[in-house]
Amino acid sequence: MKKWYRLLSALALLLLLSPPAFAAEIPDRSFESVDGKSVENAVPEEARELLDGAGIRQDLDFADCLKTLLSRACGRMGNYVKQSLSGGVKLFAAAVLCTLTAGLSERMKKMAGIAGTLALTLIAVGDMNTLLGLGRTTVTEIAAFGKVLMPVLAAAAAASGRIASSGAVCIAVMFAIDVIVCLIADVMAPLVWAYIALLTAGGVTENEGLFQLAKSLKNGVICALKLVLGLFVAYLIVGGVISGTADAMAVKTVKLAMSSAIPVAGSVIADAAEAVVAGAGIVRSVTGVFGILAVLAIAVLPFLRLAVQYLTFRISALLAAVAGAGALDKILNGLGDAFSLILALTGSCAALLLIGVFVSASGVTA
Amino acid sequence: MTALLREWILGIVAVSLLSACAQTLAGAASAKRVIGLISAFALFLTVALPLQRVDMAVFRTSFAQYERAYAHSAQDAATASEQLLCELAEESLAEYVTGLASARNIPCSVHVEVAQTGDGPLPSACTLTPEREISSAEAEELRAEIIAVLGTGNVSVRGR
Repeated sequence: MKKWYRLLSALALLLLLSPPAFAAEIPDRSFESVDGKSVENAVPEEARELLDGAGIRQDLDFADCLKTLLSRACGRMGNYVKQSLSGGVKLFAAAVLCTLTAGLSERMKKMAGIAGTLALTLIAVGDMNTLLGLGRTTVTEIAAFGKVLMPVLAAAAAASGRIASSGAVCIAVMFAIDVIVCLIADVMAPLVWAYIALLTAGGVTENEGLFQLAKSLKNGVICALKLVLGLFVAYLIVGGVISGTADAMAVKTVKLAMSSAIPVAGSVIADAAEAVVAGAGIVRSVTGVFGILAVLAIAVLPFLRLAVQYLTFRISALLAAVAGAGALDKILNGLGDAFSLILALTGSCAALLLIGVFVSASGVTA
Repeated sequence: MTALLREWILGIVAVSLLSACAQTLAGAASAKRVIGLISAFALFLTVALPLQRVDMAVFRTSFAQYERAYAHSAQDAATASEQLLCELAEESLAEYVTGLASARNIPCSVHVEVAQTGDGPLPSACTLTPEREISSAEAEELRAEIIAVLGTGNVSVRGR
C-alpha cells in the first residue's frame, strides 16, 4: 500500500513540477481558459464526497486529497467486511456440511458433491449479481467522466504547446474507453455468468471438458483485457514520441518568429506568450492531477468492496479445504476467480483512464 | 459486433452445457457415444455458422465523434488562450511604454491595444494620457519612440 502511495505521489509531483516557474498571477487567469467546472460536475456524487471539495484550482494538494480519500475509503472497509463475512461463513458452512454428509456413505458422496456445488453457486450468485452490477456501474461512471475530462485535458495540453500529441492521446483514450465499456457490458459480463454456469455444470456432471471450457473463457477475458490495454499503451508510447517531438519543434519555431518580428514589442509579446503557455502547462498538470484523484475516488470504493469479497471467498475456500472439503475445491476456486474477473474488468477501465490522463498531463519542455 | 461475439460465445457455452447434461442423463454407453457424436456435430455448427454472418464492414471505425469532442474543446481553449495572451501583452506593453515615458520624466497612464493578426498578436493602437502638461516637441519625441518600439503608427498622445 505504501509503495503504491509513494508511486502515485511521485507521479503527481512529476506532473506539477513539469512547467517552468513564473508569476503566480498568470496561472490563476489561465484556469479560466478551460472548462474546469464541467469536469468537476462530471464526478459522481459519492466520489465528490471522498474528494472533500477538491477542484481544478492552483491550490490543489495531491498528497492531502489522496490521504483524505484513502482515509474515508478505509473508513467504509468495516461495512464491506461485515457484508462479505456472512457470505463467507455461509460458504464455509455449506462446504463443511456437504463434506460431513459425503463421509456417511459412498452413495451419499456423489449426491453431496452435487448438492454442495449447487449450494455454493446459489450462495455466491446473490453477491455475484450485486458486485457485477457494481462493476458495470463503476465502469460506466469512469467512462462518462473520462469523456468529459479528456477533451478538456487535451485542450489544456494543446494550449500549453502539445498541439499534435494532445489530440491523438484524447481520441485514443476515448476510443479505448468506448471499446472497453462495450466489451464489458455486452460481452464480458454475460461471459462471467456463462463461466459460473459452466463451473456449476462441470461440478454437477463431473465433466472435465466443461471445467476446461470455463478456464478457457476466463483466460479469454483476461487475454482480451491485456490485448486492449497493451495496444493502448503501445499506441500512446509510439504516438506520443513522434508527435511530442513535432510539438517541441513547433513551439521553438513560433517563439523565434515572434521575437524577430518586432524587436522590442516582439520580445515582450513572446515573453507573454511563454507565460500563457507556461500557465496552460500548470492548468494541464492540475487538471491531470484532479483527473487522477477523481478516477481513484470513483474506483476506490467498488474496488475495495470487490477486493474484500474476493479475499473472503479465497479465505473461505482455504478454510473449507483445510476442513476436508477438497472435492468442492474446484467450484470454490472457480467462484473466487469469477470475483477476480469482475475486479480485473473494473481495474482495467480505471487503469486505462489513469494512463491516458497521465500521458496527456505530463509535460514536454520546449 | 460485440452482440455477435456475445451470441457466438454464449451459443458455444449453451451447446456444451446441453451436451454435458445429455451425456450425464444417458444410461447406456452406446447412447453416450451417439449423444457425444451429435454434440460434437452441433458444437461444430455452433462455432462455424455464425462466422459466415460476419460482415467486415462492422470493423470499420469512425473516429468522427471523438474528433468533434476534442475540436470543440480545443477551439474554446484556444480562443480563451488568445484572449489571455492579448490581455497579458497589453499589460506588459503598457508597463513598458510607461517606463519609456518615466525615463523622459513624463508621468502618464497608458492603454495599449493588441489584436490577433495572421502573424500572431501585434500591437494595434496606443493611447498615452500625460498627468502633467508637456510641450508638443516632447509629445512628438515620445510618440516617435513609442512607434519605433510598438511597430504601429496608431499612437496618440493626448494633451492635458
